[in-house]
Amino acid sequence: MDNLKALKDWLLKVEEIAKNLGLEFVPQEFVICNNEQMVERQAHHGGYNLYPHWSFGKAKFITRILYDHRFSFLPNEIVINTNPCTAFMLETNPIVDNIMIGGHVYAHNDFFNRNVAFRLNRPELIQTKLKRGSQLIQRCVENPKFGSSRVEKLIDAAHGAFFLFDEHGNHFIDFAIRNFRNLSAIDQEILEVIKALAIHLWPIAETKIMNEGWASYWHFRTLRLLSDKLIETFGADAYHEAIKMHLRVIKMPRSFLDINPYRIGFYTWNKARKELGSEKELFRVRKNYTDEEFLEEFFNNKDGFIHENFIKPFIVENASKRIFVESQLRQMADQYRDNVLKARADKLYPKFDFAIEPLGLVQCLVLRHIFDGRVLDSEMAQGTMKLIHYIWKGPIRLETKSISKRRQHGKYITKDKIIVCNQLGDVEERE
Amino acid sequence: MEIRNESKRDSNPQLDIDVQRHKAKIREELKKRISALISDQSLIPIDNSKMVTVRIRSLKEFRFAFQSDEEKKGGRLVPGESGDKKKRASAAGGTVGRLGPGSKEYDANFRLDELIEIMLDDLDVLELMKNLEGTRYFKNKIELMGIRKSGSFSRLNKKATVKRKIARERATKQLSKKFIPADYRYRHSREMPDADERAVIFLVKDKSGSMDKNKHYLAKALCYCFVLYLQKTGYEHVDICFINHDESATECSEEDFFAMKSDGGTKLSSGTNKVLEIINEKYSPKEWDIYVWHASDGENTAQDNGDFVDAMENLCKLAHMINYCEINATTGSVLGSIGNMRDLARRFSNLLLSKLDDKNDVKEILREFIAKSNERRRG
Repeated sequence: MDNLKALKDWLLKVEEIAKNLGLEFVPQEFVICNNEQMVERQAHHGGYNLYPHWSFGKAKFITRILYDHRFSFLPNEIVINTNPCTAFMLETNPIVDNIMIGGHVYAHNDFFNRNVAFRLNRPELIQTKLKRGSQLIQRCVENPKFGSSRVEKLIDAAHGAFFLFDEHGNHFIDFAIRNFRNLSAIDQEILEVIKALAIHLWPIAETKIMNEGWASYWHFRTLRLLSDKLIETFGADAYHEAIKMHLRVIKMPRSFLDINPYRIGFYTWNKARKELGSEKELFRVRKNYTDEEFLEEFFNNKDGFIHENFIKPFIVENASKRIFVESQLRQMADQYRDNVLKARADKLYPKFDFAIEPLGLVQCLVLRHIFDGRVLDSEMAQGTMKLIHYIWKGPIRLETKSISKRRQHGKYITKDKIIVCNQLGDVEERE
Repeated sequence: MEIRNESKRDSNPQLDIDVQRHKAKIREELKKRISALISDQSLIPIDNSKMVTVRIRSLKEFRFAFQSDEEKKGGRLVPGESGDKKKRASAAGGTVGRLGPGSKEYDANFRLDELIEIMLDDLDVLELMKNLEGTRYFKNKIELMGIRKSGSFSRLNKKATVKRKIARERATKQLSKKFIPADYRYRHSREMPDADERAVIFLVKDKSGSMDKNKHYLAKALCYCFVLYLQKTGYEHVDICFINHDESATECSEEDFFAMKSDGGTKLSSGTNKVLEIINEKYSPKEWDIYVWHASDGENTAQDNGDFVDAMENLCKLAHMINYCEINATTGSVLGSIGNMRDLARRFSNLLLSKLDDKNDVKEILREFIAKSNERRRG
């Protein structure tokens, strides 16, 4: 346990630095865990007290495969938004890495605590709430009157609508609890649990790039501030290993389509620092922006920013022998910016308006897709409607648009498309 | 700030239940595809440790999403350390992710016996086959253990007793008229399980019998179950002999056995005669229990029917159990048209006639075959 003691001393120094730099965080706890536990936490959205459901088993199974076969590495650290804020570290991490991770963790903590997207989060309550919920669900699973398959289908449906919001940010599950007549009180309670998790996780998705970039900015800052002491204590090699780890974290992906939020965030925060003139200003941005405004304002090709940090490394990484002319490079930078803007969470999930309207003698659930030029995946939509049918138990109509392959006057033609789910749960598509 | 080490704690048992539930769901998926999966596998000789790679679609978690090419345009989020593509090739064993993160399909390795369990479950014979475990159906062999002084009078060994009497007379130099109890010698014996029970199973198939994927699967499963039955019920040694025939018969490998096809005429007797020939050469019925499974579509050259029944009769006298099985039979089949065949089955209890058309038939055939065979083996 000497190591633990030494690590604690170092992390206290990191905390001191974070405080002096102006980060505002809630009490922090660090938990050292082993490989298996890390995989499990990964499967549980980072380590929340989650209810039983097969999808977490799937997540664990697949995470295990990917790590075992080195498609991806285990994360060295996971931080979850609780109060006290909890961070998990792998027991195999070298101590210098853990010191750097400390810097990373305090920045996340600060971000959870102060960013506008998290203003409605209740990190001090979430674990208790989820634990109670998972106990309730466990009791329902074990209760033969309720039945495990009913619980499973209920959760399947809720997961189908996990990040399903309307234009004003209202959650579909809220709408369901208020308006679906077929739900029993226990059904509603179970749905509440999943909604609580979803709305707790949504701000994290909404600020992914900013948040990871913020943490990377500060862990690098911490590492540099501590460099003399670290080299003195652990030697130059250990310090360089930590720098290497930093470089791995902000590595350029090999595919042009893949986006590394750490890299985007890290470079964008550095750019913002330069443009705003002082570090103090960064705290304002951290407080008031989400990915949407952050990228809109700072992620552009001013002074060749995108080209320097993303296009050039990409070309180098792939050792491409092709020679690009300037206009091509500019085009690539524009395309890259486009890609990144589209990867924002609020752009990843389609939005709908929900309504219940009479259809003959019965009530029909109507989902109106708010069309932004992107077509819905039909198979996924049909599958989701079947899931939702389980809690609605009536006809559902989904209104969206399709795009024909032919163009008219250089524009794609959109057509109305309707997917209908009848009372029995059979799905049908109509143009 | 707090720091604690939890690395020695156990893993989360609740998540293990989730993993099991996920596995069960995958098995349900596999069950739907089991006939196709089994058709592609070589099952015999039985080697359960064999690994089979199966492409699985990961179970979909439906949600509203944009069309995938659209989604790609928007980019995927991948964390910084998203793996080392050079290293992944070196990964071996266990379950292999094939297409990497975000892919909808992956290759998973299953042990062959996991698939077979699903197969047996699919055919509803899992219980039947499981119950065979640990049962031995053999007549015990009586082994002489020598001569002893005590025993039951019915086991008196007269020769040894007279010898004893003569020896006594010589020793005492007195003739005696009577046997005294000290003279009596008894045979001793013990019932012993036979140490080298051997069985041979002939799997005979008519090449022209056309089978679709499903029939193919049923036939393969049935063959597997026969072999499994023999191995599970105590035969130390089981030989398997595949025979293919149209107008003439040849021994072949398992692969050819299920694959070969011909459009020519069929003489069922050629298959049976080939079996008789091989029995003559290698498998004396005294040392081997002989099992025969003969599959056909029931269409036989008309002139051959008589020969076939004769050959079958000869085989019935030698074999332990025979199952003549018609797959995809037409109305003019051997079973339907030759009354002699049914007569034969009435005379020989070890001849089982059956049809194989759907899953239930597999169960019926096995149940009857095993019941009859066990009865005979118990004596």
